[in-house]
Amino acid sequence: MNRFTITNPANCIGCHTCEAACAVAHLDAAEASSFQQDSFRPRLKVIFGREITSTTQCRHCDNAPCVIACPTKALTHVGDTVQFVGERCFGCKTCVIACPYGAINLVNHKVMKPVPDSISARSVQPIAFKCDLCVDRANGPACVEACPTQAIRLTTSASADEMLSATRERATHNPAT
Amino acid sequence: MEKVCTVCPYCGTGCGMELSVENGRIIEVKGDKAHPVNQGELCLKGYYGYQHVADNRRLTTPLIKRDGHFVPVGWDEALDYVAKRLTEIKAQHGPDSFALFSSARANNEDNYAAQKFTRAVIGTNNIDHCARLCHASTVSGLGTTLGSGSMTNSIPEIGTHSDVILIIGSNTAECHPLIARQVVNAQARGAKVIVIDPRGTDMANKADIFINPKVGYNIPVINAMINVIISEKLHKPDFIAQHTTGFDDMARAVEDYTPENIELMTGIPAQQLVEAARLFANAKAAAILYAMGITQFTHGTANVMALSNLAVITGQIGRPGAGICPLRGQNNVQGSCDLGALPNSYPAYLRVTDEKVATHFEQAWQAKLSRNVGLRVTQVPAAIEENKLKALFVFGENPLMSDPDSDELRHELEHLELVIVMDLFMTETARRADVVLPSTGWAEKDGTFTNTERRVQRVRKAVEPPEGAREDWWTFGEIAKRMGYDGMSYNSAEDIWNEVRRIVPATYGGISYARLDHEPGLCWPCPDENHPGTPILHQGGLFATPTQKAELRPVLFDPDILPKEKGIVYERPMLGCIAEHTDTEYPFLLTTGRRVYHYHTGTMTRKSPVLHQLAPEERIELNPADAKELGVRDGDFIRVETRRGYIVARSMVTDRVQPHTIFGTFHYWEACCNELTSAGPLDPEAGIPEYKISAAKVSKSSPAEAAAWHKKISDICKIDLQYVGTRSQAYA
Repeated sequence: MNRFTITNPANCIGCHTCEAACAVAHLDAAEASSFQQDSFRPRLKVIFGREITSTTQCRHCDNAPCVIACPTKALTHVGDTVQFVGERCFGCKTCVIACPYGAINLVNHKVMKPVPDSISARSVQPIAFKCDLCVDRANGPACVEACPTQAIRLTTSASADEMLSATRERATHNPAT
Repeated sequence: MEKVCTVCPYCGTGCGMELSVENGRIIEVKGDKAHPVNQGELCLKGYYGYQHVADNRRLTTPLIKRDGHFVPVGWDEALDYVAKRLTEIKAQHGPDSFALFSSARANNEDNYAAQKFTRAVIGTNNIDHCARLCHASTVSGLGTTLGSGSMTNSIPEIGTHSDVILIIGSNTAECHPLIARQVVNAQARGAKVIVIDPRGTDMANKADIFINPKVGYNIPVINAMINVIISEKLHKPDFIAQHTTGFDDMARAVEDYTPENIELMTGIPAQQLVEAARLFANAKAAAILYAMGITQFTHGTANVMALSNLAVITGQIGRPGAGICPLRGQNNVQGSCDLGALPNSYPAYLRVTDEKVATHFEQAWQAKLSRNVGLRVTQVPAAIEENKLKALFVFGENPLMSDPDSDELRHELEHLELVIVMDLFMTETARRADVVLPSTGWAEKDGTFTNTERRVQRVRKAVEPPEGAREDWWTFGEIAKRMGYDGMSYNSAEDIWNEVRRIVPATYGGISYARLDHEPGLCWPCPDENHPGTPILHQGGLFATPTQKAELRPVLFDPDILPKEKGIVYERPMLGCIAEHTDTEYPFLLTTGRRVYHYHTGTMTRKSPVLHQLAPEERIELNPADAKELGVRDGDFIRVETRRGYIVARSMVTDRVQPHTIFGTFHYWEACCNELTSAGPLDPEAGIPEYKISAAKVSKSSPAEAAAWHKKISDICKIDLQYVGTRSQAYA
């Protein structure tokens, strides 16, 4: 089973701390000092509606529509996550349409070496962009760590099992609920 | 890497935090796990709002304006100049020609120094600060009815003890996120939440009962709840008989406020009011959380007293988790009130008009003191207009953005002979000053903050201030010395604090720096070193009023005109109406508030890039029905105009606001809603303006008009966008 983060709307107060933490966690040292709008991008989004407050982010689906849709394998399964490899993306946007959660954004990406004198040589092109579960971060997903109300939690195969047995336990003792 | 424990400099929640310092710079902020309020958690301002500390736009030298331009000068020259000018103005126009705006951002020690300077050195009580614009109604309201104008309980009790939480006029999730966390914790325990708010805030999403009145209709809703409680006999007659006065008048005043009548008046279903009343009255421990949606009205004091009536008759006060919680806005707005940055009181709310009190302070300070109540912040523009005021000293406040009707205030400031601004940055107000003095910020000095639950906490120096910046209390002491007063030559913040403890021991005697090093703050009153502090006020129904009884007051409301005739049959009734009504010319109701990303005028948060990147510009909330009618799509520019002026800003189309209501903030100088708000009329008791209601017209705008507006407001604010950046250029 893939790992994923999910937000409990009962706890989410819409404070946007997760967005800030996400954007900061993905800045490299040079970007962190300059803070250009281009590099400062949260990968999850707080949804603040009239009835509910929550966040949307990548669910790292096991049978992921984005992975199936991607013609260049820019979106692939890596271990128990779905990851995005920027170099392979050519901006076809199929994944954006395929994702049922709206978790994939298109963002402007600076192309390092545009082909000189080519008519298609734009220095900036849109590519897909999504949650990477902070796989390289020692403390796990930054949003989970920062959330002041523990609304966002990381679900792993082990924690799902734990939750299931707790639910079964509760249901056995108290069938009415 | 060094770790320093301190307190968050933003809202009144007062979260404990740990700064990681490397090479003299803060590199990371973490929540303090041992702190009772936030238990290791922080919101985004706590985590990322520190970056302004090392910003290169910090002021680093005193500046004196000569021929319209700021000239950097040395500290001695600046202090000599200020002392000379103040001495001249005092001699020529008298001490009451001087006023000082103290700072709810600065620590207790700075505030104490500021009020001592104003009173002992200048000889006037013209000292006030922005509490006048936020919780003045609480100080006057709860101060009268309960004897203490502050939060009655501690924050953690909400999470652990309250089983019903009534949130009225507070956008808790955005303005006090770590208090909202306590509400969420309470709900996980099974507590019920009632939210009364004209806006669909996040707390409304979380509510078990959400009552959605029009802006300004607080009293009808609260009185209807009281009406139900009394008619269904859910009140506590024994408690009322023993611990209160005025029940019969109060009860008679709510007789007309039946749920059915209020449904006719407001459209709120009567059944909802009945359910809310029953839920509240039957709670084991019910807490009321409120903020600007109660206080910022011309009848703010009446609103507060209505809430006080509700809590007192149901006995929901003076027990763990049961009480009235005004959520104070700023990190130290409680402290600056407590320390006497108010025109009518010395530290610990001792009245300036009381001869015995005045004599006590005269002996302590060795100075002749005025017995006259001074000017309030909101009376200052009129006093300038009347030629009574000649010099204004503003520190750690940015009134040109935070006070109502910016244009009028800008106009008035020009009539002053001397404006002194002491701040971290060249604020919109500082640009119009004659003298600008650089000060040290929260992470660069020692001291104490008092949060909304009256918890006095230690603020610790983590990094060196920029070269040239000085602590506010040092600057006040130096000016005092040059004006011939030696009683303010302190060596440290602790020095000042110990003087405070000596001078008002009943409140602070037991709160020493040594104790604060081991304990996570102490709630005043704390009279001696063995006293544990007082997290819960009014325990056992013993109120802080002179009679030890809570005062119940008749509160009456009529939207159109003050119900004076109806009030005639009562002794001291509280009356409310709405000051500015919408009409055919100004058909929209503009209401103002804050957003989670920024703090007030953005002086600090807009210089903290993470926060600024998340919310770089103003968005005015507009209901989808209105947007459709105006042909405005989400994000289009709109023009908002009131009788005071206009702004152009982007829209945010959302059904969180009711039709014909718009919501904006005062975070952005580019589109500050205080260009639009009204500076009068004021609440007669509290002197607070009606920020929450202005009649406005709204029209679709264009990028071209937005650009023209931006140019205009840049010129007005004297902000040259080319020069926002480097240290030397910032002074140009």
